[in-house]
Amino acid sequence: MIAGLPWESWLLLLVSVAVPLGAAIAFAVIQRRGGGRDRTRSASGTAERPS
Amino acid sequence: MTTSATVIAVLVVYLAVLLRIGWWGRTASHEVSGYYVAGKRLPSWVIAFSSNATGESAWLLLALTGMGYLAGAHAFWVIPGELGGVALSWMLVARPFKAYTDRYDAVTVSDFLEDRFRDSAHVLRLVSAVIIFSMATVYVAAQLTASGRAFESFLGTTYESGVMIGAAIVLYYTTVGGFKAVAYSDVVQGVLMVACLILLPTVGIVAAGGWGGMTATLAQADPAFLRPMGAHGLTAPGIASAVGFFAIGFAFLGSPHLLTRFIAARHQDDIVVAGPIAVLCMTVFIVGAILTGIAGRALFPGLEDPETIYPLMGSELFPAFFTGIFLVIVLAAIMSTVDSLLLLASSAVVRDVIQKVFNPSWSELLYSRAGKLTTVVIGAGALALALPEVRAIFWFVLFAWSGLASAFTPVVLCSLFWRRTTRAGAIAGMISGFAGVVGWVLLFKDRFYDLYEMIPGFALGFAATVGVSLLTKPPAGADEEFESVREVVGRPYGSQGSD
Repeated sequence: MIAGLPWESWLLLLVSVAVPLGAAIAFAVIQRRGGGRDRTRSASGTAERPS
Repeated sequence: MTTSATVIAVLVVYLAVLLRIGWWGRTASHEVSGYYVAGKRLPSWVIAFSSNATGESAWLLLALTGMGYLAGAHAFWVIPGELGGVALSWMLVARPFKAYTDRYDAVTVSDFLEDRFRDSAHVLRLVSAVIIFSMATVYVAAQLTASGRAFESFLGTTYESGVMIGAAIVLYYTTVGGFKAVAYSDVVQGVLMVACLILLPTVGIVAAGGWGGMTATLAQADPAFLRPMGAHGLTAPGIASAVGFFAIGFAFLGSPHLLTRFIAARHQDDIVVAGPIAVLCMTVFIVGAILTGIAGRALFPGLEDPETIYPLMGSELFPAFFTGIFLVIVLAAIMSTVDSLLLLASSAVVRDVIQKVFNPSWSELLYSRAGKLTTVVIGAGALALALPEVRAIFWFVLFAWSGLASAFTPVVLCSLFWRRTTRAGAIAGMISGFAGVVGWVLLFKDRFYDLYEMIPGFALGFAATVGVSLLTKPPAGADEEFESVREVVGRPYGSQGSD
């Protein structure tokens, strides 16, 4: 028991939160620093539709 | 001021804000793209909150808190599925999906599928319209049922009045303001839900004697309550239950009402920024709801209906003013889902069938008016379903959630990440995913430890999409288009490309 909860419950809780949150933040930081590419705009007609 | 008057005052303020947002959004709703995707001009924080508030209905506040109350730490298995689903959808799905839908000038998911697979016969569009229309209407009816119950339990009105008040408000701002009003009202509703799910578990844990006192009370009553595999332990029913909890979040990867947020984003950069906001917000939602239930179990053991723990804690632990706030927050969770589903169902009729299949020479204004009228008709239909009071409300919610997710997610993921996907594969995957959910619920679920229907639905959807695609030819030009989108989106979706 750690602080009232079995260690495996803490592990599940912390991993479940830390991994997705950490990944999303890291991903956004990398993309904002130029790791990703972006040449799209949301306005319609920036590229041709399939024929 | 009496409790009832306080509750009504809070409620009136909240509803007035929604009506104002509806009126404010009206100028953007006079054309199809404006009415259904806010002209693709929404900033990051709006799409982040809107996606989460739409994805989490009254299920979050009533059923998930009830799950925490009933299953304790075993309910933690919901967290990795939900947060993982949300994180992956923003990191991997959103940007290529946005790139494709901008390229196609798509307004709906069906627009995307039809252009992606060059489906000139409109089969994908028609199949998806039928699935969306039926599931969204059931989902809306279930949420209106929750609205009736919320009014009944918090305010003492009749069930029917609660259903009708909820339906009238949401129909007004959805019809008048379109997607812009829906998305911005989702922000207000999402912020309220975040605040509630920080406050309620915190006060609950303190009232239960702090973290140490609460866990000691719970461990003394039932040591298995705090273990991740619960009372079942590592047995087949325990594993089936944990996997089912985990799978609930898979729907975030491809449900059409959530994908619509990506279409409506202003720009790819907004999607990048929205990802962490969405995951952080969802963390508060899910962890807060489960901890609320766990604290509630320590405070109020032995409840006959665990799904009453949220209103019970709201009324027992807080002054009267907060009772109104907690009612408003339940309504926020309900309305933020209902509004999006109404628009989704309306777009399935007006955009996907009338405009794209029959293609009458109507003006944009006429199409948007047809969309508004259809929204009202669908809302009235859902109201008629909800008024007799469907008993197993969240059974219907999970069924509709799974049906939509299983029909679309495997097909959308294959179409984005596997260039070999074909039109026939997509049609087979969509029908199989949906049929898998229906068949599992009706024929097999009770024989397999109540395994959640989204799992067989996804398995069948993927198997049919891949299997049929391997037997048929992908559309001409799809390969070059796939490379082009990879080039636009960049890592980690595709190659680095070059300027």
